[in-house]
Amino acid sequence: MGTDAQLNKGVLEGCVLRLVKDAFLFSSEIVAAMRACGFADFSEGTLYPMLLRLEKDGCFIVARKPSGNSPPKKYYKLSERGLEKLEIFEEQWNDLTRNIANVFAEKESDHAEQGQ
Amino acid sequence: MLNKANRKLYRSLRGEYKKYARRLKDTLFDCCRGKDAVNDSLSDVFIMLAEAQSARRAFADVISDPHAGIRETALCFPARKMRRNTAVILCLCAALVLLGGSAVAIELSGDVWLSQPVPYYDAEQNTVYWQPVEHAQAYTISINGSEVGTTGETIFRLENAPEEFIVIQVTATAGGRYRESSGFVDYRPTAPETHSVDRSFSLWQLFLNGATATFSYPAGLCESIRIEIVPEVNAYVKIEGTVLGLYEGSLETSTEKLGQPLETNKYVLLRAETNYLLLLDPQPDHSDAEGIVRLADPLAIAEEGVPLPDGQTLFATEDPDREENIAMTADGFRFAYMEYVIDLGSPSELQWMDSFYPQHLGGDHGDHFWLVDNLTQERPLVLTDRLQEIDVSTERKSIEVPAGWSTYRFSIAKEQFGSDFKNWKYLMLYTNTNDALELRRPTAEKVEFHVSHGSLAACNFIFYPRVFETDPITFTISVFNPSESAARIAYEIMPEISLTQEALSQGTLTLQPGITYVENETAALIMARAEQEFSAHEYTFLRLDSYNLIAAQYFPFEQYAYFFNPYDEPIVLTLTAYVPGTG
Repeated sequence: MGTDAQLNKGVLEGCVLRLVKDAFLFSSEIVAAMRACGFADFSEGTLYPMLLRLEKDGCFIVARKPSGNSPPKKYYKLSERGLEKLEIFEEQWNDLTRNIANVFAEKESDHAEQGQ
Repeated sequence: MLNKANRKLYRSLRGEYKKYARRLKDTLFDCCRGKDAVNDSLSDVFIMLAEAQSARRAFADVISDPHAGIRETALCFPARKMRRNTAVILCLCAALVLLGGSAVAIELSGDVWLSQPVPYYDAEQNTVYWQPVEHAQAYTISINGSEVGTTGETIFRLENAPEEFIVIQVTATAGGRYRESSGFVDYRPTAPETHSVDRSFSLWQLFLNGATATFSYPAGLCESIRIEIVPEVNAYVKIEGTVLGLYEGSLETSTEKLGQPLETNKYVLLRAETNYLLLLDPQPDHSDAEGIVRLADPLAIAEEGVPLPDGQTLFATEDPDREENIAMTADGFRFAYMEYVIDLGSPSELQWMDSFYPQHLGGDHGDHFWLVDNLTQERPLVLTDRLQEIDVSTERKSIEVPAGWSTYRFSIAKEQFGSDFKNWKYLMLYTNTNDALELRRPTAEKVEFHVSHGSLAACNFIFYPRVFETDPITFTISVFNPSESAARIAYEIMPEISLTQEALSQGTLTLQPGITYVENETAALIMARAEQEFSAHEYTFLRLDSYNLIAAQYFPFEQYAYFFNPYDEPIVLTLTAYVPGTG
């Protein structure tokens, strides 16, 4: 797995945490929301190990709703711990994007000077 | 093992979805601790897969990387104490080795993940090396899941040279807010000792997921694969795949004492209370090792004339959705149907009958399992059709149907319709009673009608005579009588009555038991009344037991109506020209 995929993995986790911050969502709802936000390749195969890992980490409040003759469906919402993780992710993401923007701005100004 | 709810979900999956679900569950149960936690997670995944399958989504759209999905899920659980040379753990390790590289971690909490160590093993030096991991303060080295040492350096010499396949795990640790991270490398000595995948199944466990049990192991990761089968009852099976042989013997039996393999180029009999050992070819090179054990169809066994031992033998019907299924019986045998292979240690739940029908429940119910009980000594299963030819006309007749399954070929001569007949005709079939009160009571032992592609929930079989090339027209319908004693059914071509002005002027119409089509050829709106309750509608009744929902003592109609007399005796309708609003 390349670096890009690893970077993506951490970012996707942060996005999933954000989606379930205010409401209980079922897995297919999370997938649909991620795709609607532009993550076209995001699928259940990416999501369910992530949910399993985050749930074991205590990031969710899990509600189970009966579903006919099938096992109850699980709905996820952020717990206090999940909220802490999300806040740290948001802070680090903002730092990262700001730093990257600074780098690109600096390089563009270098090029502009050289052009002169 | 899967719990009951997960079994049901799992059985609903097909194709790539099922294949993925099988690999995931096998991996989790083989590698991970906590059966209940595994089942809990599997139910989430199975629900997700079932919903995606129902929505007809392409599998690749749902699970883009099956190996990664299985691997990452398994890593979420505590590992089982590694059994000697368990193949699936080897798969995980091999997959993780392929990952390589270091992991870039985005911090999601106060905790920070250390980068993953990438160990290398030098067999000549018997030493493990790895690149330093930033922020790591120590490294723990484990062999096959057991810790062998800790070091602050990036090199570790093993105490003894490995004589068998090993997985070396190097875990970087730092304490505090840093979370440990592990890297793996495996090593196979050039002359490995024999190690095996050993699994044991009863028939119930073997066919838990259907009439075909498939075992699949990646190439090159096993030295031997042994599947033990311990049948609770007899079973005829077919063995396919990369199989070295099927032997009488158990996991305790050494290879040298296994004797000659059984012939598996045809159906082979597994006798109750005899252990069998299926050896798969480990396939060191390219393809996966695969073994398939398929339950025989009783029709195929009957055709081949092979003998059935005394006692019970397990079967599954192949392709039950045949064009024409016929009920069958056999002297000295009895049959019991199972939707799933039940725990064969509790046979009291079974309903035994003297007949057999390949599509017992009708419709798409997947595999159909049957227990065939030979009540005498070992001999071939000789099946005979339980088929009766019956001529049908507009005259209502009845017959007695025995307990269990019977098939009737209803024969309808076209000449009875003349040259000028109405478009559609109905073959009507009535269960043991039309009694109005009886229909209002749910009864557990109602006779059922079945055709090859499903049950005949309606009591009628509509047909258009002109499209049939044959004369007489025939319909093959099977009847299931669930009670232990004979029941009675009635049959006829639905009577049709043309209500002329002359008939209306007589003022009455005798309605025979069952459904009658009445066409109003007068210009009047007609009101039909009776002293007893009856039913009527502009179209035929789909279910007779819905009679009580619309029963009344009157019914107005204009052009035509279908009348239902639910009693066993005729009733008399009083007919009058009806003016709406006049009561």
